[in-house]
Amino acid sequence: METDREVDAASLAAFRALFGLLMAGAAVRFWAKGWIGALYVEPAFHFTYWGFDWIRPLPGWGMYAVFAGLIVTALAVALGLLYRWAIALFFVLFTYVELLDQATYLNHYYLVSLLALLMCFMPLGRSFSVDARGQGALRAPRWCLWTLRAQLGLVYVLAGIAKLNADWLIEAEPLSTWLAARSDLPGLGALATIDGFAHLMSWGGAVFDLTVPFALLHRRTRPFAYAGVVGFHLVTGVMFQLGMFPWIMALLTPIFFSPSWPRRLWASLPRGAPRPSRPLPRWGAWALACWFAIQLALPLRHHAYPGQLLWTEEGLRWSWHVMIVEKSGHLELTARDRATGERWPIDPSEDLTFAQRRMMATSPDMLLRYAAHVRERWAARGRDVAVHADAWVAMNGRRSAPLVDPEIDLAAQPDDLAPRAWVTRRPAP
Amino acid sequence: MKKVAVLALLLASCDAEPAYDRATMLESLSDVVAVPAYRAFDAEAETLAGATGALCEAPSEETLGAARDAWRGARTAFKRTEAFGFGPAMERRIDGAVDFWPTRVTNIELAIRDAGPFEPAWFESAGTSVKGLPALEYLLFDPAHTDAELLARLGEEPRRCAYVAGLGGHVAAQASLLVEAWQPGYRDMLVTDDPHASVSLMINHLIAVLEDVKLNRLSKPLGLDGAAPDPEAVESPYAGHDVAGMLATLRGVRDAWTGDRGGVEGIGLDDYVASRDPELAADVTRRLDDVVGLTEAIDPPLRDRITEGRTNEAEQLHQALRETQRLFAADVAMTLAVTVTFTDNDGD
Repeated sequence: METDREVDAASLAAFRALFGLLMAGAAVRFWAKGWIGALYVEPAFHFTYWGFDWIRPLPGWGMYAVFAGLIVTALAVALGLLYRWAIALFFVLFTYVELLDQATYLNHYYLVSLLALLMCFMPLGRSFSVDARGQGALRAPRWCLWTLRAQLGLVYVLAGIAKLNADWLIEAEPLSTWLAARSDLPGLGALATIDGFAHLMSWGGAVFDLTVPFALLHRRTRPFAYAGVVGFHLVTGVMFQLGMFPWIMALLTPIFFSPSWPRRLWASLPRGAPRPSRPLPRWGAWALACWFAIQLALPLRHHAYPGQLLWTEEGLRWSWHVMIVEKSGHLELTARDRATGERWPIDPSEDLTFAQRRMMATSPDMLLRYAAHVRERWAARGRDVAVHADAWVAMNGRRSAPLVDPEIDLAAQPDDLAPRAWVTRRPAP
Repeated sequence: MKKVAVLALLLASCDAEPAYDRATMLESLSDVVAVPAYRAFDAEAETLAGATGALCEAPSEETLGAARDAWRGARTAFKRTEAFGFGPAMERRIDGAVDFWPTRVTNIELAIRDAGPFEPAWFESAGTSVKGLPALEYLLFDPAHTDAELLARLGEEPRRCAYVAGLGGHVAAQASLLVEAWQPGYRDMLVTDDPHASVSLMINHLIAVLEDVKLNRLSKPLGLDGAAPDPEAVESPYAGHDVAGMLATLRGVRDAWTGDRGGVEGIGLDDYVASRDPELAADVTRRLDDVVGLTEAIDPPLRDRITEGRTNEAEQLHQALRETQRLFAADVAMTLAVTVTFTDNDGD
């Protein structure tokens, strides 16, 4: 079935179908839990991303229409129905939703956007699909398989590299705190009380992330590696309530298996005459090279910033620092009239939800955005105000410490990508 | 297979520290602190119902004095339950029915003039602004009238009189509902459902209670919110029960933290935090003692102290509350992993 350029299309078709079904399920779950209204319709203020300030939620029913569109397009992707249109529209809608509010950022949703964008350029609707009507190509370009493998592999490896720090390896934090908090779970809870278990989990987690993509590629290690994937995501999913994340990783990692793996489950899958696919054009190869260069540079950009990444959060997003920090914060905001010097407290509960406030309390990025919003709000009432924050954060088993300089006017700080002098560089010792 | 066996042996050879038993802690907090606090409120509210009934039947200096004493007792007892207000009090909106403020005098007077009959069913369906302890406070303590005038109005206006008696009965009915809801139903759910979620709920609620005292009961009347000091913005302005109310609330927070109440020692959140960070647990206890001590040091009523400009103690309390809230929201929350992900159960 395989040539130098092509592979059996079965595993790529399974990937497409599983991706579509997972995404449809995720969107239905989101709707059923009432999160569309709670996260995108009800909040009066949204923490937009740098460079994406122009992205705003649609009013009222509009966001429900977006999610209906997500469900329909995800199902169309699963079926391979009008595949190119479906995956392109899915990518646009999903990424639009993800860019609405920093407070809802999740690493695995970022991964979904990346995979969807890559899939826009892949001929995954040519096989085992409604579009193909049984006449489809049974081979797919090899680059598609390896691109998806590389993208998923990068997530694991970079997440593993992110764990190579003193908190994780020496203090076993935040796992130690988390395991103590879940010690009453049936079965798993008993393990959590074993002395040294947090360290074992920490080291094991780092080794797992760093090696699992390679172990999945080799036939001899694959069964153990995949059992590890399922077990790891099952345990972490139960202990830490990770929503769709364990499902996404467990159901998409079979892309590392032999390209024909679905045939072992369904022997009746058609094996008819293949239709050759177009080779990857030269520009495509360059585009892929650029893509992966960015995929390496973006997660590692935090090395260009001084201080401790998990504390300052400069370069944290899009960097696969998955589940390695426990932070809680307390924030008091004060407005100061620049003309009179009069001061008064700002109550963020007037326009932020509880979850947004809790996220902002530990995130300098979000603080800056909200300070600008406060300044604009008061400017509309004819007052020129400065905004100060007394923000204290406790992180990974340490006592709380100030996150920002309380004397600095946050509303006057530039909103750019440079290191922020007003953010303290490290947590309490 | 060999590797699995080695791992199992390694694990088996490790010592297992017993996990902190949160279910037992929650059981103790419910049985030693929460349920007795609600029972105390229930008893005081019964006394209040009897006293308002007696006042309506025979308005006199004695019955008015007894009703006022009963009101103070009921309010103090209710405020002491606020640390546990996340349960049925909030879910069934009983907290609003018992303690909605600031008082809407116009609504109350309109209700007395136009509404009724003031049977239990009427109070059930009435809005929160016309019932509860603050409404009763206005009718029993209104400083715009002398005691003789208040008594005369009660004697001459049967609707006003029935309203006062009905309010007392309604507060008592709400108190009974709270006791019934807590034992055994809510108490058992709190203990057995998901101890981590229960602890998270408690900690978040304690932070909210501290915020309420700091912001609504101190910042606004003291003028620390940027506006001018406003003595009338204190909670309970008619009865001058502002400091007593704060004290009861903060003692209730300390009860929930230590797990002790009325001389009975129980297991509290402090024990749980101490199992992770003894120094932090001691810090929070010390801070709560300071907060209670600073409240006791305020010469009541706060309204008068604000009018006189003698607010030093209250401002110290405000600062101490800020620091206590910070300890809970940052240090305690992190130590117990009481975090909020972007929704109730999603994160990575």
